[in-house]
Amino acid sequence: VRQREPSPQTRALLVALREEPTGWKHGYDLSRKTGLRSGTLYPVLARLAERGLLEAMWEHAAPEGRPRRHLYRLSAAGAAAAATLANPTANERRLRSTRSAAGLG
Amino acid sequence: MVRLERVLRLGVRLLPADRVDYGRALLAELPTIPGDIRSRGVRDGLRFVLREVLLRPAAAAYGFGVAAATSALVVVDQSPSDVANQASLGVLVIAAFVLGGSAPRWAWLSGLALGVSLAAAHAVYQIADIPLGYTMEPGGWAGPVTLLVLVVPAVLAALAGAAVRTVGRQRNVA
Repeated sequence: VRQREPSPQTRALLVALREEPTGWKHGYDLSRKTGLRSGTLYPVLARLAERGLLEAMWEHAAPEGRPRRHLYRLSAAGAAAAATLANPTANERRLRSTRSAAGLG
Repeated sequence: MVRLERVLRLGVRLLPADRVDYGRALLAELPTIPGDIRSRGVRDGLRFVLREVLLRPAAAAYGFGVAAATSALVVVDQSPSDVANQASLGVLVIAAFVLGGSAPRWAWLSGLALGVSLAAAHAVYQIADIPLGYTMEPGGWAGPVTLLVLVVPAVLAALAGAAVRTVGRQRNVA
């Protein structure tokens, strides 16, 4: 199976979620941290959850004055993927430098 | 802005099952977004909803199905045969039933689209002065208007198709 490089938006989101791997974050918080607008943020969140990289849940109780929020955090697989992005292996570094030298990005 | 938020709330209801939670999440965040950027959040939300609802293979297949069914209905209706009316009604009911079953959440829309299609076609014939191969009773604009009655069997058939599909799914789960 061909593994595609994550998009810059996905990278930004994984990095933001990795800052506090066990803490739950909500969409607006992630939007502020990554600069992603909701039209981009939520599809990326949905795709990460579909791939098992993200856990999602609703707040248990509705705080006064606002509805319950949907919360997100990295799953174990997501944390590993985020760590790989932050610290690429020697093989991935070599692949990237080869691509870069070939003008492929 | 209130109107756009209302549209967004309606749109979120149309999201596919695997995206509904994200649409609701977006709505839940709105009250916490400061006023000056809230309108941008609503517009972004609408973009999300449109993309998730319309730009999916299933949505494209559904749109193609509705277009094919309405085209078939209009072609059959143009026949001068004595049994063309019965054939048109048969095509209408069967197509509405199948489309309703294939997309239960959109059954009302399938029925509406099919039910209105013949009235719309006859309105076009009136405007463009296209001659028919048979005599339309009643004549003039009353013809297309009376054809709107087909919305009733079309919507009922589509809802029946949706009900059969839903019951079938529930039985499979049980």
